[in-house]
Amino acid sequence: MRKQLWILLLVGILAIGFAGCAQEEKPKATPTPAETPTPTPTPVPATVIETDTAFVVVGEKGKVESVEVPTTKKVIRVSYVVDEENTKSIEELMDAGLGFGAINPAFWRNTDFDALVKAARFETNPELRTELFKAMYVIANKESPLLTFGQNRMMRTYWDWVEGRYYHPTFTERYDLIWENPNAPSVEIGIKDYKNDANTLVIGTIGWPESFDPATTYETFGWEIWHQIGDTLVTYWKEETEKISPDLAVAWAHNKDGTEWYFVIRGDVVAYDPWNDKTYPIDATDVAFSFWRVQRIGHSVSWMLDFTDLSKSMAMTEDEFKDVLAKGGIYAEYGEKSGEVKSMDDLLAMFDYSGTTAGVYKLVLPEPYAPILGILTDPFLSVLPMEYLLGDKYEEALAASNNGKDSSAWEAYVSEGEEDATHQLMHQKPVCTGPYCVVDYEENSYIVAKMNPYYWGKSLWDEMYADGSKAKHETVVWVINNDAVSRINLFKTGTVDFVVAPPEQIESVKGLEFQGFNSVVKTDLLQPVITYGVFNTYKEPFNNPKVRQALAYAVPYDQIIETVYSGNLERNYAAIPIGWPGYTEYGIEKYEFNMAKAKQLLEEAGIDPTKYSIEITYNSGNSAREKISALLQNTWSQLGFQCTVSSLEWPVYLSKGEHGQYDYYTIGWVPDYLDTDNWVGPLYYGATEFKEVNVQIE
Amino acid sequence: MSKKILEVKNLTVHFYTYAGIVKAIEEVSFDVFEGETFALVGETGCGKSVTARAITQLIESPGRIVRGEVYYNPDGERLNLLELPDEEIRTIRGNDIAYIFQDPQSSLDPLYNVGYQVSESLFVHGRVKSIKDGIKKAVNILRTVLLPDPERRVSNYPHELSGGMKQRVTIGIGISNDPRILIADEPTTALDVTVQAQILWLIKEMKKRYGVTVILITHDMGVVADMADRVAVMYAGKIVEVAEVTEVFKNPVHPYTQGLLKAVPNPLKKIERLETIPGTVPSLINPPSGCRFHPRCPEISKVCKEKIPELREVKKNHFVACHNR
Amino acid sequence: MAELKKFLVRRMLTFIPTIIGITLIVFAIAYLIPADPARAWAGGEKASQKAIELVKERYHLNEPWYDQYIFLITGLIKNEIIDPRTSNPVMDDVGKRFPVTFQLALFAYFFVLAIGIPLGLISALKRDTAIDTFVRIFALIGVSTPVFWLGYILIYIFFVNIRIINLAGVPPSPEIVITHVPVIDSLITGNFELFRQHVARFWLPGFVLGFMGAGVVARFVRNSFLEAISGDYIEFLKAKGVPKLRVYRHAMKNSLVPIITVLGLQFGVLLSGAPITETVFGLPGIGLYAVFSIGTLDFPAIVAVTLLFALVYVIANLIVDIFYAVIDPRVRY
Repeated sequence: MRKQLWILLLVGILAIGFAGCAQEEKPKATPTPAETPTPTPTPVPATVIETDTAFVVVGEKGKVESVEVPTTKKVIRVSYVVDEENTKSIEELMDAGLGFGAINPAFWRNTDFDALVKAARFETNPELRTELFKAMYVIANKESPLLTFGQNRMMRTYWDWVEGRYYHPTFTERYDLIWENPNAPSVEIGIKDYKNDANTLVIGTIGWPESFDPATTYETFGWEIWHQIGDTLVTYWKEETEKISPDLAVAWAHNKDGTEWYFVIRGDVVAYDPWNDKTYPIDATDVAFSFWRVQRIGHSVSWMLDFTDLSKSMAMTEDEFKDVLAKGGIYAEYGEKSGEVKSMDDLLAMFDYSGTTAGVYKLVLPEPYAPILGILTDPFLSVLPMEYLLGDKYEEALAASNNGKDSSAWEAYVSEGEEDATHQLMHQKPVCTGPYCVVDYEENSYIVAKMNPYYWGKSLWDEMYADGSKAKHETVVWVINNDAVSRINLFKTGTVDFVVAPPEQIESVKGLEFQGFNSVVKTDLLQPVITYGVFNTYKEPFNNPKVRQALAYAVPYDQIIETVYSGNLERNYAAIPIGWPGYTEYGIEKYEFNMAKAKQLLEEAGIDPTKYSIEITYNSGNSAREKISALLQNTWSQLGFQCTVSSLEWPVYLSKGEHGQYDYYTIGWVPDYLDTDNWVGPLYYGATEFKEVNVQIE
Repeated sequence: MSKKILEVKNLTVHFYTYAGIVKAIEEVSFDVFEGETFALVGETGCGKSVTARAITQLIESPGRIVRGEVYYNPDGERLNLLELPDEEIRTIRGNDIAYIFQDPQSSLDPLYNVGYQVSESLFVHGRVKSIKDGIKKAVNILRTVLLPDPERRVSNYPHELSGGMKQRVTIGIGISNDPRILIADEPTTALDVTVQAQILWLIKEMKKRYGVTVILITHDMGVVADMADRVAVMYAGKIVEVAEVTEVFKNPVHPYTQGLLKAVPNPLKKIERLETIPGTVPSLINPPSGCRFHPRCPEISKVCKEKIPELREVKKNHFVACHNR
Repeated sequence: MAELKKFLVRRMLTFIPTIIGITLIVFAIAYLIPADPARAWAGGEKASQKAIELVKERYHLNEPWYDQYIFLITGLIKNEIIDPRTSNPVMDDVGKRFPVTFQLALFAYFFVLAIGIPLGLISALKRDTAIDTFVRIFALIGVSTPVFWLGYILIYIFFVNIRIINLAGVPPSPEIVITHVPVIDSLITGNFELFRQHVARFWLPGFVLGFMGAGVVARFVRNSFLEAISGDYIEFLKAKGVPKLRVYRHAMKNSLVPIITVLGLQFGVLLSGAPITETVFGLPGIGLYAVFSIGTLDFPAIVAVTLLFALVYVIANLIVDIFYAVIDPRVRY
């Protein structure tokens, strides 16, 4: 007994000692360069970029006006005044761990570029914005703070009894808009009584949604579910990427400078609670509450609401809106029609809507932001019934906010963070307004959704499926299995219609047959997903653009595409996806694998590679990035650098990235909404604060 | 004149090992008379324990009883124990013929209390209906073997008893079923001298009370002198001399026996050097040809190397296996 | 018998310090990792600064280590801590998954006993014969086969070819909860349909997981039994005239101590071997949860899982120790 007590004491002392040491050793983010800091480049009066259709000139106000440019094409002049006091230094940003947050992951700062980003944000003319984005693409390409590998192609694996499939870059399909051959086989899934028949869509997938509460969901699975069960104000219909379509908002309009937007809410929409078989009507106050709640709970997805000012936004009645319209200065565009709108009837006529309405939501922006409609299509802004979430406090809360006009009153009813009661409620028992409803789920095992009997748009189904030649998806089941081989087995036996299969397994899902039907594997869908590498541009030798370019020429791109992605990667030369505004091939460096050129650039840069070591990191578990790292090590060492490869666990990976404690790492980006600002902002913006930015077209 | 209760004839046991065939005992023959104490004496490794076990087929692989007969003659019947099937020999063991082994520590199962083990002996021979019933009888048996405080001790585990007490328990197990023959294989070798005396005395008492025949295996000539009526001397797996105890001590005939007795020092006389028998015990895989003692014998002659000597009666009831006697 | 009780009380007193020690050490190690988990908890590379600050505050990440430890442990016990990754109270998550893993371990344990012990005994009794060699080869295969490989093969046979099992979902628990183990509860309450469903879902993964353990146990049983049967008291028993079966009973009891030791350890091994089996068979158990939480530096989940595993191990060892004391009187110090 005595001996045991001594041993326990020893264990305890050891543990305390460990923890105590850990306390001291917790590292502060040390700025990495031990060498001399970057010499400031000799100031150039302005940057001039020639795109295929314009000249873009950007520089400090007072200097840029005098830069001479040929007038053969349109000239766009961007001038700015930097706010030196509020612009944090790179070191400060590294210390605070703001890499990939306030500043881009490479800690690269190009003031001219930053001005262009700001300009494209408040400008609303799409053609002007495209020119600005092109200029940004060219700068990013030449300076190469990021090494762009390319865009991934999606691999879709499914049985051909599923028909009508389409592709959208930011959403999954709406499963009520695709159907099955009525003769599709019927296979028992093994979960309760559910069968995979012609009226049931079964998806074999991995992971689990972050939450059933859209306000705290910022990943693809959660968004996939909410795209089926929720409604946002506006949406993209099927494959549309440019035209915005009505969803919960039947019509919208804005003031002249785009800082106030008005959304007319569809009438007779109810939210259905399948757990208690109840319905709740939806109106503009629910919209106000839902948006405000996202910001209140403060999950990281709420950063997109930083472009709005919800304290000034509010719900209004139709009459109040009519008063606003009557004062004038409200404009709308939809399809071919556009112009000033003076009455509700005019507005609704523009949008071809003749049904009932349920209030108007006014969204206020601190500055105009052209992509705001794109953000509103994202599932995290699905509209939720306030009455369901607040229960018997609903009446009280509604009154306290003056019917949705003063959202700060709601602070008493919704708390910050995930302990909030409404979050827990929604997280466990989600309700729906969309085509489907989640009716059953078992964590990490399966989710079952059924067609929503109260869906406001269900007349669409009557039209689509009237003739009986298509079997509609009354039920959708997601079956979770984290093992690729087991998932493929589920697919082979017809238990699932779609399966998430890794590219390495492509051969085992091609050419399968099941009861007269065949498997389909599609790899031609180009996704706006870019895999890229990040240089620490604050550290030698990466602070020299020629060195970065040299390294970009020393990447074996073809080999990477073949061996790592089985050919399913499309080259790109900077981080704006092909086909998006700003993507251009005019006047850029097309980085190819050219060791001679790389060596030449290094000489021009005047550095001796043998004096430098490069630590190439990737996140452990990601085999694609592991392979890329190995290939880079091979070629970059041939240039003379001492290269090592190391892997880090995901949280550590992120942490080192945000504190600037790295040489080079590989990562990817998926857009949140369909606007180029969602690329140039997070990936290239250098956190310069400005006192003013002006755009002039000549 | 008492009758022979046990007749051992030509008993031969070999051990089939990886190193070779060990001829542990060869052509061992002797008789035991009812009611006597018969001692089997010899050095370590001479085969006495093997002989004792072979009597009731207690030999395990890799040993095998190659040939021989062991006739057990209780009350008129004459049974060859070596021909009995498993189930029948089991009824003999512990019942007609009981054993006491050398180390009481390894005779008792450490996980069961002594009362259980005594009772088990009764139970497997059908003398009690259940182990529980047998406990009461066990208390009495423990009292008989003079174990102090038997009512309490009966629920003790072997590790809670001293060596002497444990041996008393095994003796108790031995006499529990009122056996005709008690084979005691070096019962006191593992005990202190004082305890030794007590145990020997106990065996004598049991013999007096129950009239049991005792076959005593030992290497200690002192114990032989104290306990035995008749003695058989074994060497290298063979019996070399059989006689009454006083005769063996006064007139040892076989050179080995003589050497043995000379080796026991007389504490009353002053001795310059201890007497030994030169040489060592031979390997039994390749035993010496002819007489197994010939390499160490001071009186060796030519025939000793060639021919195996048989036991011959040289005097009345005095048998010797030697060419030169 | 009084000693037995005293022994048990003493053993149970060491329970609490052991649990505290284990969780403290794991917590300390997690704390030593020089990475800031707040960002990962707040959502990864898309996390906003505000969200990160909120996370730091809620989880006391700016407090000294002892404050964090006490906050974590008390929060877990009271089930107040919400997991940053899954948004559920941590103990709820754990509580939902643990029965699945526990049931899987029970099924595997059943196979370990049902296959390992008889094979070990047969092998010991028929030593050096063909059967013995077969069993020893079987044990070797069992120990060396990777769990997933066997799993894939059996899935191919029993799922792709003959559809007997399924790879999705878990049958529900019965209404009346007694032991919290669904398969036992459904048997006790007479709900045979549910019982059949649970057996159908768990028998194959249980077999795959238990296969390895069966090999180990068979070898142990064989060796332990052989050792016991060559004990000296065995000879005395035979000399007493004890019949063969009874002799084996004695030998069996004496060989139990090492066997029970290995059985106790096996249960722990089964729990930790579960992640791969769970992944391959699509069972939402705690194995995968534990692996994910380690990879994402999910402190609350890591400590919760450690707490749970520590409890299970300590209880398993306690049971083993009780068994020892019951079987072997020499152990009751």
